[in-house]
Parts: sequence; structure tokens; C-alpha cells
Amino acid sequence: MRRFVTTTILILLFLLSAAAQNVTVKAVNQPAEAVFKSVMKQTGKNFLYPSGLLDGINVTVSLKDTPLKKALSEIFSSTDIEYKIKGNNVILKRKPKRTKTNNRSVTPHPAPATSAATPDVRILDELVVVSRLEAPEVTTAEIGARKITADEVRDIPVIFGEADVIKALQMQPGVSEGSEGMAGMHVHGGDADGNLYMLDNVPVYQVNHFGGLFSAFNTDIIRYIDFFKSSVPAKYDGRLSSFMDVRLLNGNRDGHHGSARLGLTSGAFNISGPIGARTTYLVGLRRSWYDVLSIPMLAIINSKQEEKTRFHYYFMDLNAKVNHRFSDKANGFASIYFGDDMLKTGTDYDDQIDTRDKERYDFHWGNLIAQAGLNYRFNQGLSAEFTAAYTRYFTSLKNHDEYTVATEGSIFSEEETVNTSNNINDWIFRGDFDWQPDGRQRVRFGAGYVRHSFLPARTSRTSIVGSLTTQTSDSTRTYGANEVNAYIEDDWRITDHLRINGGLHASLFNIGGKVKWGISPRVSVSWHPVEAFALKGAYTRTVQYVHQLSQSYLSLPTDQWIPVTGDFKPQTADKISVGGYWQSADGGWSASVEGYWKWMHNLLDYRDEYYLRPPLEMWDARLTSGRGSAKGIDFELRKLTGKVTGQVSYSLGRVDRTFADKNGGRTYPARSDHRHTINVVVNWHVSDKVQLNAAWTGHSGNRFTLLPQRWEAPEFSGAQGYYPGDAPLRTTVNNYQLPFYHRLDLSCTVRNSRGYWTFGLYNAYNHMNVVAVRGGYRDETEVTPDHIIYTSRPVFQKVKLLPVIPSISYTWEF
Amino acid sequence: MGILRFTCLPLLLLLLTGCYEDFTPDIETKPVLCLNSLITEGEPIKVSVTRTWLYTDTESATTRHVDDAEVTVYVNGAIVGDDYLPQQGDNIRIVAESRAYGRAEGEVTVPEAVPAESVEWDADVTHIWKHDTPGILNYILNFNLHATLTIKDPAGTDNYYLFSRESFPEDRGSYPVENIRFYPGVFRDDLEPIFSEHIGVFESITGDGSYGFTFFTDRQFQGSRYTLNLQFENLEYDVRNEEYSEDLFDCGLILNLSSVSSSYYNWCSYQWQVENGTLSDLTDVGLSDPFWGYSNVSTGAGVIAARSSSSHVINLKDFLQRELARE
Repeated sequence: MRRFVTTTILILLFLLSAAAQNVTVKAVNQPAEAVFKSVMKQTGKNFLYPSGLLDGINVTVSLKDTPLKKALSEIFSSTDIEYKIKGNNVILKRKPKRTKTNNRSVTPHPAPATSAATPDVRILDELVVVSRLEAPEVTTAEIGARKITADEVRDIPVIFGEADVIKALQMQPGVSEGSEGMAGMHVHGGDADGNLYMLDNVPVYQVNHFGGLFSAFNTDIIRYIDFFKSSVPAKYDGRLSSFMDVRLLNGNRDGHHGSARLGLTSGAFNISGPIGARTTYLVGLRRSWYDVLSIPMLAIINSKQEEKTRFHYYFMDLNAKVNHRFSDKANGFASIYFGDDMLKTGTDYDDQIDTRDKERYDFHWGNLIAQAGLNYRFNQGLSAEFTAAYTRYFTSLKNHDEYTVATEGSIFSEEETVNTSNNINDWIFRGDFDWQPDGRQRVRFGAGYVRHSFLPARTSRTSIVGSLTTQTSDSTRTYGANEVNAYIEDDWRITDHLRINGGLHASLFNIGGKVKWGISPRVSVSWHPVEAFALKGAYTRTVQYVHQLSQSYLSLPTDQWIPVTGDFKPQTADKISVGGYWQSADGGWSASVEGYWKWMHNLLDYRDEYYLRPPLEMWDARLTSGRGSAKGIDFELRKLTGKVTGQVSYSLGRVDRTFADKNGGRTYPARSDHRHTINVVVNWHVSDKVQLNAAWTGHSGNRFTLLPQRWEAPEFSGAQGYYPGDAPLRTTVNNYQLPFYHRLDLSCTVRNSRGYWTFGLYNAYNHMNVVAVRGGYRDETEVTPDHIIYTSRPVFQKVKLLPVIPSISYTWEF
Repeated sequence: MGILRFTCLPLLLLLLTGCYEDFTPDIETKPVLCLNSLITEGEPIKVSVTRTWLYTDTESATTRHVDDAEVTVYVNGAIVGDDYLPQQGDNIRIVAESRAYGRAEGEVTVPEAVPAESVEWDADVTHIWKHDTPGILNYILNFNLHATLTIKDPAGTDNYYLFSRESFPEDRGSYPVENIRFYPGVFRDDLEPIFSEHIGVFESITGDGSYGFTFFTDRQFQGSRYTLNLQFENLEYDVRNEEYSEDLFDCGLILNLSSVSSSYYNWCSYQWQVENGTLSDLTDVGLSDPFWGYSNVSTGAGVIAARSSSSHVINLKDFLQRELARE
């Protein structure tokens, strides 16, 4: 296996370094924007330029396999525009003699720190630039932060060919997936609930569909993702491990454009365009097909069965967004996101004589976000964003059984209904300010208020037997909480070689008459003695007031978000990071090494044998508080331009946990304690029409609890007189490490005049990885001349999932 | 557990196309002593001493018994002999030592029996069949019975209970050639909500009932009264005799209410989770953390439990005589 892994890595590294950053462009009097789109796709570069700069400029050019710099010179030879390549960005501006100010585009977020001299820039296809991570990593103060574009997400092949934000992040160094194929992630040894997912700056609680196979973000309408895993801007807090802000596209101002995608598992449609001169809209809809696919299958199954099976499942995401420019100084926006999963299943039995039996299970869960905001520029140096938002996570689980039997003239009937609901409602109000007093400093500050309302699982039962009705409802109540937070952050270029980003985030969390608070200082320092290289260090503290209770590795509607209550304290994490960054002069290559040490306090987890405590007890009774630590080092090499782009990363890590009431209070390795992790992503732009993508991941196996011994069970009369015979002996938690995990995913994109096909192969070499181990039985049959002997022998078994899975989809662009 | 267990979970697993591969883990194990004992008020103590074994050890059935173990029983701190009979409130500690497998110990306090403060019942006849053969008393009577049993929970302690029922005369399951047969019907444990208090969210949404689990705790009525609603359906009384005799109607139900130790309750809760809980399904396919058997023995193997019982008899004689007299 080692030889195979090594060979694979070497091949991918070779491919990665093989291609140069050349472009092929043919255009006759074409709009400059259209030409840049082509260049952007070939090189992966972002083009930043003031609004209106390219209006009316047409280009005639014919270049084949030409270096980027030469191509740009050729394109701009007859214009008054000059360019500068800075990292992954190509900054365009008018030549000095014709410079003019244009304030048309008011940025809700500041322009990139590196382009302080060009404060009003825009990127192709977008009205405004909002990411604070546009600049090359070597020039910023942040450590472990990255902007990931929608194209980068789409270029990473994933299961079922469904481009997925979270699975793209799983390829980042220091990030581990939870269970294979699932969307959960562990960042630098954190728990799955330690990541704050935001959609346009508003938290999303339910980020998964279908148990975690898909994330809730529709990549067709995503512009980019800001991802912070080490140094975290003071603006963000509330989770321990990482912060991910998914930003949606703004509406297209040039006309009504969009795309429609049809895949094996889902379809998507999105459209955007102008509404008058000042307003744009964007609508995106994604929906799965499982319910449609299941119709013929069920028809076949049910045609031969007396008992009819009912199965109906879908997931859906709907995004709608409107932007309106009130003036040169004010932009408003309003958006809605609704994502849900619906599962309806059950059976109908009717013997056409005297008996009818009906079972119904209706599960519905999801997230609703509605927000409105205003971006306002007070003057050239001060701008602000005001946001009001409502986010609702909901789960509704219903089970209804009906049984009727007719006997000798009388009818006996019985009904039972069980409802379980679980929801969170947050009202959010916040103001974020951005002040640039001079070219060297940028101060961001703001404050917010969140009104939380938590309803943990509440269950009611109604039973009707004949004339007897029994109703029960548990006493779970809604918990209200008030959260107030404020932050201030200064990004200061002290000298041309030294830059510091320091900040403070303070928060109060009031629940049940108790006030809990947190102070989160942040500081990161960057020293780059030469332009291509920087050394960085950071300290980050984060505080978390809510945590997710989940009994499985899947993302299920039974998962509950619980506020910190009772005697438990807010979870906190302190993290120290240091790193070195390098970027080549032409921005084509970058490399980094980041070391981190993280201490987590007041972590919460289920205590040993928590399942013996009945649900009517407060959830606190099932939990135990403890601590954790994570340390490691991440190496990464990226190729950013050229026909072949990609990244190779290696992480060395160690993660542990210690809880008072788990594992006898002894420290144990966390499930995601991956000593070695290697990720390789290669994107080969074969031609204008064809792109090949490959992603290989390999890591030390998950830690797992293997129960090797058994003991003789007592024969007490118990549940329905069932005697298990034996029971597993307790052991050290996560005492067994699963085998090395590795997988190669491939995809190919083929363009035609109307759109593109995407072909995918998940787990291309069909290595079914071990996700668990268990005690099972091996049934054997021995045939002798006289007897047939059946035996069932206890054996340890590896549980393997996910073989090679092909996928195909077509996207039509208009 | 309903359709979810049989359709959705397998569907998900089918989608994931899982498979199993046998293997031998490289993990060290050391056998330890296992103690099991159910201590009942007024009955001699029996202790089973065995050892743990590797899961794949198919010979363990013949080798798990430990012959060299020395067992000592302490009651309220003092060693007692074989003639000791447990009493309510006694704290009993059992210690076993073996040269080969070391030491194991566990303790339990015999709980106080909690007799029912009151038991009330009524019954509805659903069907009566009468044979017309002259000179032979031959009836079949079907009825439902509803009983309420009120208990007063002792204050200051966490208490655990087990409800069970018996009938008399014993149901032999065959049609009576003569004399009587009494079938005690179906006990609807799902209609008494307190028998469902152990059911979690997972099982709630899949519509699972208590599946015969009739343990409950005093968490919802600590130190106060609680009335159990007990519904029995389709009870059947058959009589076929040549002579009328009052003894023919001598049948009924015995309602047992046992106070059990927390270890007894926890062990049976664990059993229920293994057999009926959704968690065990997820564990089987590696989608949840595995869980081990509950134990209150120092080695983690075995259960030392105790119980004290009280009973109340529902004699149906008058009811049956009255109903048959109407025919």
C-alpha cells in the first residue's frame, strides 16, 4: 500500500509541476470582459478593476499558448489600461495620466488589504469585492485563512458528482472529514459542532442534507467562501474551531443569465439579472430526485406485495436575493434561504377482508434564513454594513399508526401518534464598520445582539384504543437566551515588512437568569523580510455557547443544538499558530508550513453509559465536561496558475480528550486523531473544452472503540424476558485505530457551446475503506454424507463502505 | 421497530453498499472475573463467578467458569455465612478472588418493597359464548380489564420499580376438556406512559413502544403518589364442567410491584437498548460509538442486583359469577 501511495503522490506532483502558465485567446472585436473570462478560466487568476473601467472596450487578439504576461501586454497594447500581477490577482487600472475616481460600487466589505491604493475594485461577474482574503497569503497578517472560489469548489471531485463546499474544505490541510462521504468536518482536532457555517454572514445550524451526504450550500450560486481555521478575525466568535462564511453571487447587471443542471441525484436552476437600472435579483433552486426515482421502484415492489410501501424523500435549497443601489453611498440587499429535507415513509396493509393497518412516518427538517441589510459608505475611509436577520432551524418528526380489525359485527380500532419537534429561532441584529484612517491601518469594529430561542426535543404521544384515549407530553420547555457581542480589530502595517492584526471580541450570554461571558483576544503578526516570504504567528481564543448533541456520526434530524446551561461553562479554546509562507514572484506557486497547538476547555460530550439515563432528565445529566488538546503541523504546496493547478498537503497531528465521566477520567485519543494526512488535488485544463480533476486523500484511520472481550450476562427477568447471553466488557475509549484510509476521486468536465458535461468517479480505484469494526458472526455450512451442519462463529469484522461510484451531470448555461 | 429499521436504514446502507470483512485485531486482552447475583429479599444469595473471554473464543462456554474463586459476602460491613437471608435495607457487598483472574467486587442495597396503597379495577365483557348441551356448564367469556394501582414513593431516595403480573390458575394453553382455563389476555404496557420514560428521541420518532419494558423510576413523582393505569385485553375464561361449583370461578390476576436496585434497572435498560434501541443498529454498521454492557462490578463484568416485591391479587370470582348469572 505504501508503494502505491508514494507512486500516486509522485505522479500527481509531476503533473502538478508539468504545465506552464500559458493562455490561448482568440477574439475579434469581443468585449474585454468576455476575453478575461476566458483568461481567468485558463489561469485561475482573479481580475480586479474599478467599476466601468472596461466599459466599451473591445479586444481583437489571437494568441496560442502564450505566457500570461505577454498575453496581457498584447491585449492592453492599444488601451490606456495597465495591469499588475499580484499573487493570484491581476489588478487593472488606468494609466496615471487618465486616473479618475469612481464611487459607483460601494463595497459592503473593505477592498483587499493589498490594494489599499485601489480601494474601489471589482471582480469579473461580480458587482463588488467582499472577501478580506483576496490578497496573497504571503502579504496578509492572517494565518490559516483562505478564500475558496466557487470554481475551486467545483473543481474538486466528490461523491455523486455533487460539488460540495464542505467536502472541498475537507481537502484543506488540518481539516478531517467525519465519516466517509459525509459532510461533517473536524478542524485541527475540533469537534464537528465547532465550526460556524454562515451564509452571507448569518449562521446556519443545519448544514447537511441526507444524513450528511450533501451540504446545504448550492454551489451553483456561490461566489466564494472565506475560511478561517487558525487566526480568526475578531468579528467572528461562537465556535471553537473554524469559521466559514459562504457568500452568494450578486445578481447580474448585464442581462438575465443563469444555468440549469441535471445530475443523477439532483437538479438545480438559477437565474439572475437586472430589475431596472438599480436593482438586481438572484434566484437559485436545487432539489434532489430521489422521490421521483423511487416511484417506479415502489410501483414494482408494491405490485407484488399485499403490504404497500410508501417512500418519498427529497431535499431542497432555495435562495433568493435582491440587491438595490440607493445611491453611490448606499446599497441595500434582502435575501431568503430555505433548505429542507422531507422524508415520508410507511406502509399500507389491507387484506380486503377485515384488517387494515397503516403506518406513517413524516419527517421534515431544515433551515430558514431571512435577512436584510444596508451597506453604507460614510466617506472614503468609513463604511458600514447593517444587518437584521432571522434564522430558524426546525425538525418535525411525526409517526402515526392506525390499525382496524372487524370481528363479528364489531370493529376494533387503535391509533397512535407520536410527535417530536426540535427547533431554534434566532433574531440577529448587527452593525459592522470598516474604517481606514490611512493607507496603513484598517480598523473594523461592530456590535450585535442575538435573541435565541431553543426548543430541545419535545415529544407528545396520543394513543386511542377503542374509546380509551391516552395523551402524554414531556415537560421540555423553550429556553430563551440573549447574546450581546462587540468587537474591534486593527489591521496595521507597521512597516513595509511588519504587519499586525489585533482584536478583541467580547460576548455575554444570558440564559435562565445566569450570565455567562467570554473575552476573545486575537492577534496575528506577519513579518516578511522579502516580498516572496513571510513568517507569521498568531494567538486566538474562541468561545462557544451552544453545542450539538448527536448520537451518531451521521447528521440526523434528531441532532439537537443545546445552549450551555446549568453548571456547565462556555467552551473555550486557546490556539497558538506559527507558520512560514512563500509565493513565487509571478504568483504561480505558493508554499506554506503552519504549526499549531490548541487547548480546548469545558468541552462537552456524552458521558459513559449516558443512554441509561432517561430522556426526561435534563440533557445536562447525560453530559460530562472536560478538555482536549490538539497539536500538529501542516505543509502545503500549491500551484495557482497554468494549465495544471492544484495543491499537495501533508499534516501531522495529535488530538486527545479528557472528560471526568468518560473513560474513567483518563485521557484518550480523539476519534479524529489522524497522525498523518495527505491531500492532493490536481486540476488539468486540457483545453478550452476539457478539464480533468483528481483528488486523492489519505490519512491514518479514525480511532474507534473495539470491545474485544465478553462476559456472561445475568439472567434477570428484564425487558420482555430477553437474555443476551453475553455482554461486551468495557474498555479504553478509542482503543483501536482503523487501517489507513485512502481514496482517489476523478472528474472530467467537457464543455460545448451551450454548457458542460461533468463525469465523475468517486473512489476511482474502488478501495472500500474501513469505517468501523464490530463483533459479528460468520455463518458456515458443512455438508457431510449424513448431515448438514450449520454453525455461526463469532468473528471480528471490518465494516467497509462506499465502493467506486460513477456520476454524470449536465449544466446548461444561458 | 417499524418500517424505518426495515426500510430506511437498510436503504441507506444499500446506498453506501457496505460489506464486512473478518479480521483478527492486534489488541491485548486480559481475562477478569465476572460476578452475577440477583439478591431477593428473604432468599439465600447465589453468586455466579465466571471470567471474561475473547469474543471469538468459541471454547469459552466450557472454560469460562472459575473454580478456584473464593467468594465472601459482607452485609453492612460484616461477613455473613450461607444461612444469611437478605432483608430490606441491607447493604450487601460481594467479593470474589481468584489466583488466575484476580479480584472483583460489587455491592448493592436491598430496596424497600413498596406495596400498593390501593388497587381498583373494573372489567367489560366483550363476548360470551354458551354451549347448549344440557347438564354441562360450558361457557367462554371474553373481557377487558382495567386496573389502577397507586403507590406512594418513599422520599429521599432514588427508587426503581418493576411491574409484572401473573395469573391463576396457571394457563396451560390448551382447551379444557373439563374444568376451567383462564387466559390472562394481553397487557397493554404501551398505554401506561411511565413505561415509556426510557425511550429516547431516536425511538420516539420511529414509533417504538416500550416492547414489554415495564420498569420505571420515581423521577417524575419522587416522594409522592403515582397511579399506574393497567389495561388488560382479551382475557378469556373457559369453563366446562358437569357440575356447578364455586371453585370453578376461582381465578384472577396477581399484580406484582417490585422495588429493584438501580443496577437491576440499568442492566435491563441496557438490554432494552441492545434489543430495541436504534443506537444499536447504528453501532452495528459503524455509524455510532459502540456501547458496552452495564456493570456495577469493579472489573466491569457482571451485575449485583437486588429486589423486594409486593403483590396484589385481583380475584375475578365474583365478576365471573355475576356475568354468567346474567346468561
